[in-house]
Amino acid sequence: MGEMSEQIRRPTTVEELAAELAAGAAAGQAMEIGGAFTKRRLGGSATAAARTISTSALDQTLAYEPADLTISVGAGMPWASLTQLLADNGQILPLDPPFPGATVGGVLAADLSGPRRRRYGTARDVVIGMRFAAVDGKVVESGGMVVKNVTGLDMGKLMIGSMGTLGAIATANFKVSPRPETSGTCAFLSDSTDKLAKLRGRMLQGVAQPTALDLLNAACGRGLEIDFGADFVLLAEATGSEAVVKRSRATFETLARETGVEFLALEETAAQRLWRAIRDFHPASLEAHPKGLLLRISTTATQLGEALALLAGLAPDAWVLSRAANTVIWCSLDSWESGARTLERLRKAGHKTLVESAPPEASLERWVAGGPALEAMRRLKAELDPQGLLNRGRLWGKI
Amino acid sequence: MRAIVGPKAVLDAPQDLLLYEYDGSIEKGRPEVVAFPRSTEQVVELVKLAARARIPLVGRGAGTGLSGGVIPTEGGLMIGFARMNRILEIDYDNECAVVEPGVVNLDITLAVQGAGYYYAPDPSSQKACTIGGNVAENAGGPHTLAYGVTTNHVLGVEAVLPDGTVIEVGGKESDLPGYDLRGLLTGSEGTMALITKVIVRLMKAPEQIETLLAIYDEPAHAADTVAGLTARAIIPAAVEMLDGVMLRMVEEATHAGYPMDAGAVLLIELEGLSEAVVEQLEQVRGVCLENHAREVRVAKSAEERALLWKGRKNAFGAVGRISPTYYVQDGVVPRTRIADTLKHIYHVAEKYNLIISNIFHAGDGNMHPIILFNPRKPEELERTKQAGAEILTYCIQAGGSITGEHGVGMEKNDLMPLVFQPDSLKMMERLITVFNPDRRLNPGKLLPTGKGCLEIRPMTESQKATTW
Repeated sequence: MGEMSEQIRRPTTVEELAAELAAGAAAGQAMEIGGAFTKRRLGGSATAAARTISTSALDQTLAYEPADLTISVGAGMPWASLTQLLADNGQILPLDPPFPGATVGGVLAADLSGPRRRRYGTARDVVIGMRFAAVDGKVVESGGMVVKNVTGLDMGKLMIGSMGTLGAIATANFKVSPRPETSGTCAFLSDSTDKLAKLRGRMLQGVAQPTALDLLNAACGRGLEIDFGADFVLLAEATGSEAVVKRSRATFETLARETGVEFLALEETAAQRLWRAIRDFHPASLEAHPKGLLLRISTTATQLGEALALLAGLAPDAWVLSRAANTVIWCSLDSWESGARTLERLRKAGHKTLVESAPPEASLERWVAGGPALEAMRRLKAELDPQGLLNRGRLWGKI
Repeated sequence: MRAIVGPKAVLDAPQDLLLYEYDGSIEKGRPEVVAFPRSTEQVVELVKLAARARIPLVGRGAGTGLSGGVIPTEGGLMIGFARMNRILEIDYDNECAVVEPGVVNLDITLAVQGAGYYYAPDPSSQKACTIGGNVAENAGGPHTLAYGVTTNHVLGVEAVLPDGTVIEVGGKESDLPGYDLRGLLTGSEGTMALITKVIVRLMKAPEQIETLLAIYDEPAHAADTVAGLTARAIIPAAVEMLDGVMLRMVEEATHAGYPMDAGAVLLIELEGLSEAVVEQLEQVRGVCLENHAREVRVAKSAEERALLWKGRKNAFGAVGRISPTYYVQDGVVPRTRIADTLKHIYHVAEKYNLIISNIFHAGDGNMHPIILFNPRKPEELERTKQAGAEILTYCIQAGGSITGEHGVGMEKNDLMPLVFQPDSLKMMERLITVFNPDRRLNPGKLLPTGKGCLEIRPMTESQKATTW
């Protein structure tokens, strides 16, 4: 976790960042690269490094022409500053990543997103260009500042989610969106995962599509202090004009009635507090469960209800949050030892389950990976970081 | 090869190979043999055979590409995906379809529209082009303004590497860990792997669609309208622009009802919930009129709407009636620079004494100037090349790029150093060689070869018939 390094190095230019990497490589030093280092417990922790490099001083706005709906910033800019700057101009970049102090580079390297991904996608859908420093000290550029561009390989995609194992993201260019006129949030309460899974399906088959659609269990609601008093709650946000939000809400209410699910329309302030709490599910659950297990289950719509029911049976006290439209489920268990059984059962039932976080001593298979795809990833890693110096231990030490 | 795919699925007679020496671009290059596998297993066998014989190979879908992406630069084996054209699965619950690479883009939408779904990326060649090629080139289209290009709609791919390894990346599930190989392969122009299966996202069709035609005396006013829409926070589903030169050619060919005397028109499409579309229609009309549109027409029926789009989608055919040879460009500029880029294009046309017509995806700044020329006049060809280079240089200087959706291929690879520093190009090469170590797969594409640029040849009659 960087204990060995005497200090965190904070280069102030892209060239300095590249020089830091090159110097580390020349000395054969293991390097930990980060922004604000808010996610050290996520994605396979980095092992002790001789050199710790933060991009936090690369925090400038490099280009912003609101009328072009694009922005370019340094990787060290806090995500909150970026979204504030956009908000001042009536625009949004709605990744809504967890971890309040996170930097732009960290959000991209960890590929974090939030509830509104149903409508706006994830990092790979909003990044239009990137510069990164390679371990050999070269600065590499991909994409550009236009929203449609197929000039050259899309190397930015490779850096998103790479957890700093291939290079250090130095700057990032985004396409941004106009802020919708208004929004409205509805909650659907039920003790039946089946009913909520059915409601979810019907909402997504309709023409009035939610911008966000999340499902959480009672334990998660209590943990995040957004308890609804039901075993499960499905939350839907509609965005657009007044008329669109009104119509969406009416549609959702009708579907709730037809499905036999209790419906609640939330006030704006309550809704904002709710989505903020949900956005920070990761840090909140990690803090609540310091010796726990944070699982990420990538499942399909057809298996979503079954996975939720399985979790309800095996670990009723675990915090469960699902980005329901995208059928990803996070499950935070308070003890890794007892959680290991849940993990095993999930995998046995065919749900692709990843251990996003576990204490170092937990003897668990974090990521079940193999085959030609993993081989290709290893070859890419070997090409970009032949000495294996960058963020050792990240990506669960698999690559 | 005949043992692998059957005797009728291999072509090597010169008269047959002639049909496979071109695509939708101006490039040419003949393969030595073309094989048409029916399965991933047959692709693997063919690829392994080529690896043992150490011959170059390239994949080909429908050959509609505009940058020479499928042209064999060094002969060798061409793998045609025409027989791998099955839709394997339609999965509405998971909002996706699993298809073979030879499936025609539009056929996916046709297969799912009855259930109220569609596949969003819609290149102008969507009636002919195939998904494998769309993934290789990261294809765009008019409606990518609101919904993104191919890479945003590909959930997973199966591909065969040049050594015969089958690799599966992505899948129906979201957030699978590891590097985003599907993102890297999409748009790699067939230089890293041959795509053998694709999982595409299906989207719910909109409730209502409205199509407007805004008519202007001055092209600059049409360009200003695009910026005006953005300023009002309106993102239509599509914003297409045709300038006066273009729309007169289109009108003569298609009779879409475009005005013959206008300086430019915008074709704007709005879609979504009825409430949203009705509101936006008035807002958009307002922005058009504020920016001096002399008339704004709204299509009153599905037929009228189809006719307006027919004019747009048949534009290249219309140009071909006037001049059998032309050079289409694909530069992109930031949206606020459309007006001055257009002005520059007219300046270039005047300077080189050439006719340049403009049709483009104005909403995302993707310009398609079309330079008309007579190939029998060598000095006119020379002027065309210079004019093209000058326009693309301007796009780069405006903060844009040289290709928005057609790809680099062998047409613009030698312009890449104008866009990227040597270190970035070197990194692209290193990444390609991780998958394709001896560059036997689709050689001579995407990266500079140092052979010179913008070589232009006349199109053949058969090309004109098949491409657009």
